[in-house]
Amino acid sequence: MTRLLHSFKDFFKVIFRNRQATIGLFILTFFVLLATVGAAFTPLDMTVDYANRFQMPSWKHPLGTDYVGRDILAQVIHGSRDVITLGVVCAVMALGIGVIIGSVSAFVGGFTDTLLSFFTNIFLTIPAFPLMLILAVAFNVQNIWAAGFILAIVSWGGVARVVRGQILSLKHAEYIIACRIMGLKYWYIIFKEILPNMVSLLAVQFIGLFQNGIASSMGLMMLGVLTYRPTNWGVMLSLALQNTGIAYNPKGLIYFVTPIVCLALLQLGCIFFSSGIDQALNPRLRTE
Amino acid sequence: MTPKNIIEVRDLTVEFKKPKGSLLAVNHVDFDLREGSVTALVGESGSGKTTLAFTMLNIVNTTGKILSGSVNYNGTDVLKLKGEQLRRYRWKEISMIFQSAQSSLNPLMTIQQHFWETYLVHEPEADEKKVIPRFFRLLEDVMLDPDRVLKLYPHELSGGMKQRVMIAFSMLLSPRVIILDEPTTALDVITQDYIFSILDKIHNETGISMLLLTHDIGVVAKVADRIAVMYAGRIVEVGDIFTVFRHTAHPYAKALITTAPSLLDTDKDKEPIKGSPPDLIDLPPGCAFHPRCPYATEVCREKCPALTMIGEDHYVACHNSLPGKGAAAYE
Amino acid sequence: MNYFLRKLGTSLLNLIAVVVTIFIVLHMMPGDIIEPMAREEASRLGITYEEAYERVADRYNYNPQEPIYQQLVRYVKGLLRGDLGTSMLNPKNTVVSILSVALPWTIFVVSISLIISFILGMQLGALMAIRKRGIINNSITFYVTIVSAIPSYIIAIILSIIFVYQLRLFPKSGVYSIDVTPGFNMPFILSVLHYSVLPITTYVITSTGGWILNMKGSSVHVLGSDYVFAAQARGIPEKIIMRRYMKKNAMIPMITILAMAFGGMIGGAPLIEGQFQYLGMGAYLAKALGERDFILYQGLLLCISISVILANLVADLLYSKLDPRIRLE
Repeated sequence: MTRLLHSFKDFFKVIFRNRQATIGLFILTFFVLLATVGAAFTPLDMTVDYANRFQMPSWKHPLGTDYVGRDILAQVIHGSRDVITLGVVCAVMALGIGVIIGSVSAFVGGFTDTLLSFFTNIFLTIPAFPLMLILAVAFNVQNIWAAGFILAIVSWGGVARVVRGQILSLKHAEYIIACRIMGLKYWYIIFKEILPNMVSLLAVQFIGLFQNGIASSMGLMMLGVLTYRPTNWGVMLSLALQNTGIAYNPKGLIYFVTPIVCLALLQLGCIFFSSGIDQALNPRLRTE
Repeated sequence: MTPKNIIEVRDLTVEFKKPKGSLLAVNHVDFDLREGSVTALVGESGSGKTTLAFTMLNIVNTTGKILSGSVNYNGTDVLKLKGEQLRRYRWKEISMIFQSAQSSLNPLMTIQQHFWETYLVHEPEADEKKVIPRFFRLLEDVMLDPDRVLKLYPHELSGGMKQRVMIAFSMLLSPRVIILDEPTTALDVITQDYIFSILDKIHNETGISMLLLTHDIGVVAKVADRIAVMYAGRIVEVGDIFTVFRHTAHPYAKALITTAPSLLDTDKDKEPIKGSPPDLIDLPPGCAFHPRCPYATEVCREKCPALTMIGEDHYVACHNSLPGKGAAAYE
Repeated sequence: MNYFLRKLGTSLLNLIAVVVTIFIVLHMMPGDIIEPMAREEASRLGITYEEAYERVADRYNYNPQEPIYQQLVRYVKGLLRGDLGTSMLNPKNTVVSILSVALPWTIFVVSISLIISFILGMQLGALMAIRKRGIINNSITFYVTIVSAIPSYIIAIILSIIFVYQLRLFPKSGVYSIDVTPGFNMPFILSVLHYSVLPITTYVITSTGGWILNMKGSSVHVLGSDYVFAAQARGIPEKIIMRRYMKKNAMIPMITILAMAFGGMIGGAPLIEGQFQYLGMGAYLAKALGERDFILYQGLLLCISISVILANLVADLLYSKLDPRIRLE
């Protein structure tokens, strides 16, 4: 336990030494707080109030109101909860599938490996986004689990391939072979030697999946196939495009720009943080 | 006949910056390469011999920095050469066979393209048809079939073939010096012998000066006529091969020479060098070898010995030259 | 030849697997899409429901009442005849005829974008590897970071708002003006270029960043290799080293990414082409999805998957052409 705490401390030490990673961590923490604490303390009122549509920012509405008079800030805050939850669900599922398929493939080897690699390859060949579209429509997605699952189904291939490659190269690494010659148990080797070496890889993959899941889910919403929550940024964006006449209506600009800025910031946070994670957890990059 | 030096290194210091601190890979070194000689530069990996050799081509890794000193080649300070002058100097005057010879060819070019490219950048007026016979002769000199080899890509050559190609390549512009950095490390014993017989032949025919970097004393005894021993960035003993072998004066050199495997020797006086190689970033004060030296005295811990002459063409940097002091090495 | 045959075999196997996967995914859909159409047709033509069902099923080459393996056989037979069924909304249009209209435009836009972004990425990436600091380097890094944080469809939206709706520099929809006659004539070519500027720009803006980063990484790796060092020792001028040693070697691993990039771009087409109403595969995909025209969607999805497989094959062949180490195998 103390060792865990110690490595936790080390982890943050490395993160804070890296400027990019610090910024990334800061941004991600901000959005997580927004999604948890912020959403808990901000009332969300989705009733239509035509009289107050397209209001400029004020004390009552810090970011103004949308095309039917609803507060934009409250929508964005509640949207962040949906966006982040969906991203996490998608990343966890895809990582799970990918790790299982990739590691079974690498550990069992032989025909199983050939079969699973071939299977992985198919999912890497079919363009992800169109496949996702049709899956979303076919299964008429109405909740976050289904949405996450569909995002995961199309994105586990990359993880499986990377995990397989990494395990294979570790399997043949000299120190692992040494462990086996020393007669250490198979599971002991996996948990004590191989897994710790994959932590940074998995962490980086997780962030990547999270980031891609969010971007793709917003894309799906833009095309109107994932519409179960009106406050999700993607739905906001799609409503802004359809209902405000944004191309000619400068009044709708805030409603249109807010979800974009939030999305870009969140993505930036992921990119920065993942570079930091790589340095913090990858023993080879951790020079000191 | 007084021997002429083709390369004279004076007071050379090269520093490398590492995350943990800086280290002096070459530390105030004076070194002469006699014209027409085969000089062996011996030392463990990390002793600075490769860095010293690189400075002779004025090619130091990006992290390395030359702090002081000069490298005189035929009257010009190589370290002062820049741009086009430096470019023309390299390979034309001094060529080198790298330790990594196996990977020092561009994987996307055939051997002929390599030869022709290098020839052309040094002789811009050249005509490819006219120089191909020269490529043929060079490859024949190293016992390769030029017709076949010139058309091949590096990955299509075996280790021994690659090494011979590199030897032919190093002779391409008829340089006056050729530096060989562990030229046979990756090869089997029979190929090693073969490579050295080729080098020997080339040396006999052209009289080219050779600088052989190695950690293998057995090789030195076979081919070299002079030897310099390096330890922790300094030259600790240098001289004529017979003199140094017979009257080894530095404890480190002594250990190196006596621990070398030999068919004739019995094993009884072989003692491995105690302790571990020095940490170059955190060198001990005084003589860098003193923690491992059985003869170390108080003065060794405090003062770094200078390279001094103890016999004809025999220099050593030790406070207590073996087995007694100074010229006592000659009994 | 051996290498080529092996790659061809893998591609074929992959193709079969993709056909089956797409088929299964689409046929897991709940509900019977033929049924309402059969009812409508039965009452319209005054024939029995069963007969109408048969006719509709034949028209789309799809009968959900058959067991799934029989459906697959029917589907594959159709494929081999070059029959992908017809659009469900407009039965006069066969899927193949729609593909033949839409595919060329998508291939045109995607390949031009791929070429431009690849070349730009290679040059800038190599530049970044040579010069470690400086204004150019910092601005490229800044650009790459920003662009990787903004999904391509948002860039498409922003470009279309500014250039189509506000400045009115580019058309709202279509692939060429109705005023020109298709053929090899200047007005037509100019019109095609005019209509494709925004989709191409979007693709180039979003995909160049990845190429830059990849090429930079690869170049830095090559610069640290023994043969670059050895070339310097041979007095080879820097310019030649950069071109013949660094760039060429660093670009070889990039070739394998080409096919992946192509797949990524073509996969993003529904959003980008949809935004500009550029009538390629992507726009039709978005349209088919909106109208729940599954037969058309299936054909389009299959077609873009096949182009990705082909792109992979082309990349493999290119790779073996460029790297002498592959040829030997």
